Amino acid sequence: MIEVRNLCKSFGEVKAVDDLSLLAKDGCITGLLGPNGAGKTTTLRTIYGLQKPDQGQILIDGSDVSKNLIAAVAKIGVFPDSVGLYDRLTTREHLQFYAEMQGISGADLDTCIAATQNYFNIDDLLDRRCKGFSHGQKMKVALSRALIHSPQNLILDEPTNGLDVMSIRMLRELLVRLRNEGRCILFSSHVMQEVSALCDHIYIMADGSVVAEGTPEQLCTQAETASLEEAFISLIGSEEGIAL
Amino acid sequence: MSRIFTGTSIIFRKEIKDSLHDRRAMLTALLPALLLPLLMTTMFSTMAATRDTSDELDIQVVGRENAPDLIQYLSTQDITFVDYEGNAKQDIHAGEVDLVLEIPEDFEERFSSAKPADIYLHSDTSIEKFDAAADRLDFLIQSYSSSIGSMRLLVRGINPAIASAVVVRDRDYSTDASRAGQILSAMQMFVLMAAFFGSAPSAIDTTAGERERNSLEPLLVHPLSSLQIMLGKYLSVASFGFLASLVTVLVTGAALDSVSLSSLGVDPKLSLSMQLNAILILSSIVLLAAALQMLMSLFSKTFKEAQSYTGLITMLPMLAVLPSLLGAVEDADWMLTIPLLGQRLLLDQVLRGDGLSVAGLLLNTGTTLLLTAAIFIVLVRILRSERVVYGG
Repeated sequence: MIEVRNLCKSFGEVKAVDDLSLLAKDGCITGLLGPNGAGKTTTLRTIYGLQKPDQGQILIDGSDVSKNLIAAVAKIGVFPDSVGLYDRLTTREHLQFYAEMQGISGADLDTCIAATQNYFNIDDLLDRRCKGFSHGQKMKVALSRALIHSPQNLILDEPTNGLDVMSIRMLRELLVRLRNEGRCILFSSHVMQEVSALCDHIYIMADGSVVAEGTPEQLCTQAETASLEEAFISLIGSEEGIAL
Repeated sequence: MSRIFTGTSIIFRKEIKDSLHDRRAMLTALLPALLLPLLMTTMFSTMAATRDTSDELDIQVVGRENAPDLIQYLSTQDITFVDYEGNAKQDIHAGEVDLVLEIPEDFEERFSSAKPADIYLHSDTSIEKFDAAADRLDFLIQSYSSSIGSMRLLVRGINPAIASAVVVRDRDYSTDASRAGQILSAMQMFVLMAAFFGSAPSAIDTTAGERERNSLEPLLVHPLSSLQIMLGKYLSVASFGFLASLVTVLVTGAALDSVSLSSLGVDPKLSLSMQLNAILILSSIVLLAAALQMLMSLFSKTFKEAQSYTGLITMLPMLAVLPSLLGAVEDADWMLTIPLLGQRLLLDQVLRGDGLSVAGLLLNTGTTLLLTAAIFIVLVRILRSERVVYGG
């Protein structure tokens, strides 16, 4: 479970996040939808501790990120907005490295790497160096990295950016499966289709604040519209920076 | 403590593996360590060979029958003459002959009527070896000429000394010791630079490179402390600096063993204990270089910028060697407290065969490690800062 309370973050004069609170529950896919520049990435970065909040509190399964960063990040898997792999290491070397950092060692290493096969097939990639991987292949490795220690909480920043249709389908199936296993999933997107197709609970962000939240049905009722798309547009107040 | 070690060792092993896979970086790290000592030794042994003028000189001569007395005089001065026919200019340019002495047909006639008799010396003085030979021949002919001139004056009842209005007496103080100093300074510079060359590629790759390929953010969302991550990275960077220093010292030792520089008045050899002492002295500079390069790279905005900065600090050993090479500063004990200057001084003592002062080594290593530790603390502190992770 991820709890954000009254988060504020400014860059110089610009208020990137302004008094934002959200709750991502276990067994639930929580979506952060907003146009580019709404503060989604900044919010996620403060949750995994690489940007320091000016104000507010972030709790991951009860661990306070600003007080005990290491304990808090041990409970999450992160898929940042760029995959960031090492060209000269093989997939197996990547996964071993990240698993070891999560405190996995010895025979458990192989078990964990084998377990990622439950999510998607990376058999043919395991002993190849990552240089020259397609975007979809790199994404599989990056997702395996985020899931290698079976984290209770998963944070994904714009995970569908630059993906082909097949990979997007694969990702959707994966997220639904993890939700059904009882994990907490928080992801950001500026693509309405994604959010409406996947999310149990949606936070709509604009200019650093949450302008509306709720289940898809609640949002439609709130905006007095028939479709979620129209609800988004009416709640954000503009179509700019949002993709269908 | 053991938990810190585990995390550090995970990072260290991964960094070493990653660096070893990077062939180009390995080449830029270790090639100078191999080549610089070889280059230096070749340079000095070439210098030694050209200074070696005790050998007999072979001269091509045209028209030797025109000046038999001169030829005979020169022959007594270890100069051998070989008859020559051809175009001197062309052959010298083609490198087929070195020096050609041409005696014109009217030499005897002008000589015996006491007119200045011309002879021609063809050479390419831009080649140092031939310059020295031409100088020597020129000097010999001048002294022949002045002794004949003196005799002519004597015959006419005039004191030959009257012809010398001013006499320059050379006092050349270039001693063997100062030349030895130059050689030793060059060696000090190369071994000090090796530490910087060796660690630069991985120092950049593991910091600025990590950020540029966007792998820093995923790395930092893992539950390892900044100390563990930085220490692992740092130790891997420093180990490449150490490897390069080791190679440089060993190659220098082997290269000096295989040549003789005795004609330069100095013939430095590195005994095993001198090599060990040199490595002991260099260890602290290896640690400082790695920390300094990582700091520069973390503060750089891009990989390229990091390369320029670390390139600049690779020049630091030159600055450390220059003052004493130019004789601007006398060697003194205060230098031991200054990183690089101190190591240079200690290296100088070891290379001159004065042995290693343990107190000096401790003082020098101590102050260098103090500075290194200060830089390392900064590295740990800024690793998770927004400026380092996201730039700007």
